[in-house]
Amino acid sequence: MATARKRTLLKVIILGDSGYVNKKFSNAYKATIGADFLTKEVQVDDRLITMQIWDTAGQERFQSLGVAFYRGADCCVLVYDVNTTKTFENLDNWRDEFLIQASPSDPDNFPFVVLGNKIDLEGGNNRVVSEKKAKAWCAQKGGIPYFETSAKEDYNVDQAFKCIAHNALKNEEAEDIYLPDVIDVNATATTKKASGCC
Amino acid sequence: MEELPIEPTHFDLIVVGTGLIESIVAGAASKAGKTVLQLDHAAGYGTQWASLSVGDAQNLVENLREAEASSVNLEPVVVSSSSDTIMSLPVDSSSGAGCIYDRMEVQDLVGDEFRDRMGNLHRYNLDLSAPKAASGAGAFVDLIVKSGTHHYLEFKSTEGTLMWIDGSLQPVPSSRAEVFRNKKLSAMHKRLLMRFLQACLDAKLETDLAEMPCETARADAECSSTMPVFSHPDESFFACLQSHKLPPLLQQVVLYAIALVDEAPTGSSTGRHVAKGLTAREGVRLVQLYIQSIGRFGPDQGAFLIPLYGTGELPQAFCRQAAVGGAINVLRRAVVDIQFQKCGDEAAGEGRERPGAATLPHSAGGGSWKCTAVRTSGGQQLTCGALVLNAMYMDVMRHAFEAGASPCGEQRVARAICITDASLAEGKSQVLAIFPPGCLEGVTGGPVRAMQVGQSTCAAPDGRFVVYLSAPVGSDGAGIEAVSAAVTALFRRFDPASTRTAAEEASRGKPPPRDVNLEADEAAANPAKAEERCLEEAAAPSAGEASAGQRGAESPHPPESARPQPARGADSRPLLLWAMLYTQRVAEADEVSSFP
Repeated sequence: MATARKRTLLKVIILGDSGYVNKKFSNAYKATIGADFLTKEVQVDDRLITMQIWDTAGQERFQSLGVAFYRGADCCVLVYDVNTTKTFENLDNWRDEFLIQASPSDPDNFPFVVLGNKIDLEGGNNRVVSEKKAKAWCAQKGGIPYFETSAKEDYNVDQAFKCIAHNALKNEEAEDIYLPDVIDVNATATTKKASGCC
Repeated sequence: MEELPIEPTHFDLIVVGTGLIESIVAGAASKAGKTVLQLDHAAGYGTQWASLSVGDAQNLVENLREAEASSVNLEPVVVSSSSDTIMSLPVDSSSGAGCIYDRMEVQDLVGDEFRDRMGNLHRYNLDLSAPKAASGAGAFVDLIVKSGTHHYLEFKSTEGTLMWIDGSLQPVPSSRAEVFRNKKLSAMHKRLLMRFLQACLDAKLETDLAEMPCETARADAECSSTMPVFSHPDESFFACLQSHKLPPLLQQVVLYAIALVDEAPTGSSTGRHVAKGLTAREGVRLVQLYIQSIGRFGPDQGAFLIPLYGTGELPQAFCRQAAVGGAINVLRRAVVDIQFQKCGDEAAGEGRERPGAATLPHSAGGGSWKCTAVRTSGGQQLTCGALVLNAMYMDVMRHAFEAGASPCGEQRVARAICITDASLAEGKSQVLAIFPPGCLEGVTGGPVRAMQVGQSTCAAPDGRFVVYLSAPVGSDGAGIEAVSAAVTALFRRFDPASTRTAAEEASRGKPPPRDVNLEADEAAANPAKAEERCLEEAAAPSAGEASAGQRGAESPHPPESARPQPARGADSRPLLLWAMLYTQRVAEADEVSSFP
């Protein structure tokens, strides 16, 4: 039955308008598995946490992210482009979409993080969404942590991810997450064939 | 929400539908560098593979009924100009599922009054199309690993296999380890079964033999094993089992619980459960696959892998893979017509052999046609090099291209989805249960396979289980009866009236009446006949060493003898809360055997 074992692997999904924002953002990290599926290790207190960062892979363009994408997320990162008003306005939709699809057991306390990205563009002259406005939105949604980042310049990205890992872990302690003991299809697939029978 | 136009407007491949087959094609094409567009009219992925909540499943049945009532035959429109001939074929995705499912019926036994007995309805993931359990060593698991889609999927394995013997479910030895542990098998039968399984494992089949240098080496290899499993690879598997002197019950175990043969017995209900069509080579390969699957993913893991959250996860994994490779996925976008261009004669007749090719013979107009474009519900025209359609468009395409041709090469599978309040095997969740042909009285169809899943695969809320039953329908429709007889045999039906009485009586301190099964064909649950057949032929393994305390061993008529006992020994079968019965059309016979 439900076993609350400490987890060292966190699923983090990045949501926001336009795959471009996300691609640019996650490209700041080395892909260790596949193009869409990045892992990042973060030290939180005395624990080394592996974060699996899931990009929307373009499926967000036509609001066509399946429920499997949202499943089991430990943290949801909402990204917008500070140079485009529309991407900021759509944060509401993405947050709602996440809460409906992932249906976390405690939606009010689910860890979100908001990132205002591309602050470096044109030296910040194209900026249309102010930090104040973004922070006000985050406060109104129950105090979502807010970071301004530049994936291109690698500015503030590490801090953002530390916070993401920290909040995701906090959520894990609050919620007794049911972790089924699943089969690792890949690991054994490579070492199989030694003996066919029991 | 307005329909955002799709860009670009030309694709190497357009895929309509997000079922498993279409999604695998989309993923592979995308990985191979093709431009791919995948469309689905629904709001979620999976088309008929989608895993549904109880409410969604009930709605589907309603919608199908309505769609059937309003169904119209859409006729193709052919427009000729001086340069070419274009045919546009209207398609309707809303009535598509009617092409797949038939005889759908929901039995809501709890009703709204006792709905809470089913737990959180949103926690159910019901698989209508094909509840899948993949052989651990099978090709599908290899595909998942090779394609990389295993990153998006999680699996649990089956925990045991049961077989309907003497009117109750009994665990059957399905691996060599279990043969050792089994307390009911006599030493002699253990030895026979072990020797047979080992012989199967040692047998070199043609796939291995293909690598042999020459004919004689192959012949040598086929006979070289110390104890060849079969005298000739093309003899029937049944003859092969007999030559190993396996008693009939063990033959059934090997046929239906290990090789998972799903052929209905040929001939009438003479009690001969013969899969005549199956050759020894094929049978041995199935046994090998099973044995290799067991323990592949850990010492205590069963032979089959079941995806968490239901089969609906599988197509989503391949869709995501397609998207990562650059494919565009668009949900809530229906295709309303498909356009074909008439080709020159030289292309005629080629198309059918190549899967996914867009040229098809047109019996009415002659010549061949190449699919060039689709039009979406928003009126957008999208051109393509090739088109792959979900099976729900099968009838429309046949109607257009094979006018007058009778449906062929397809089968129906009878299915039932049952929601219950207890596991078929105490302490286990993922369990396979087999009803060999002829084990249910008066029913000729089968074998019936039942697969149970529960909370541990996120298929049901805590304490509830979903049991999927299936049987090939066959020309006489016997599978349908077999499935409903198996449902009757496995479960007590929830009865609101007696539940109310039970509550009243409980308050007065009396034991509640246990047996609420008053089904008309109660006979199916009556073990007398089946037991006769099994016992007379295989007394040793089933009853000979009946020390395990199974009900069947204590009494040849468990339900009757158990009834007088007030508490535990009474009808302890799981309570059936909700059920859905239907038949499903499968395009190829292969698909029948792929479950599980």
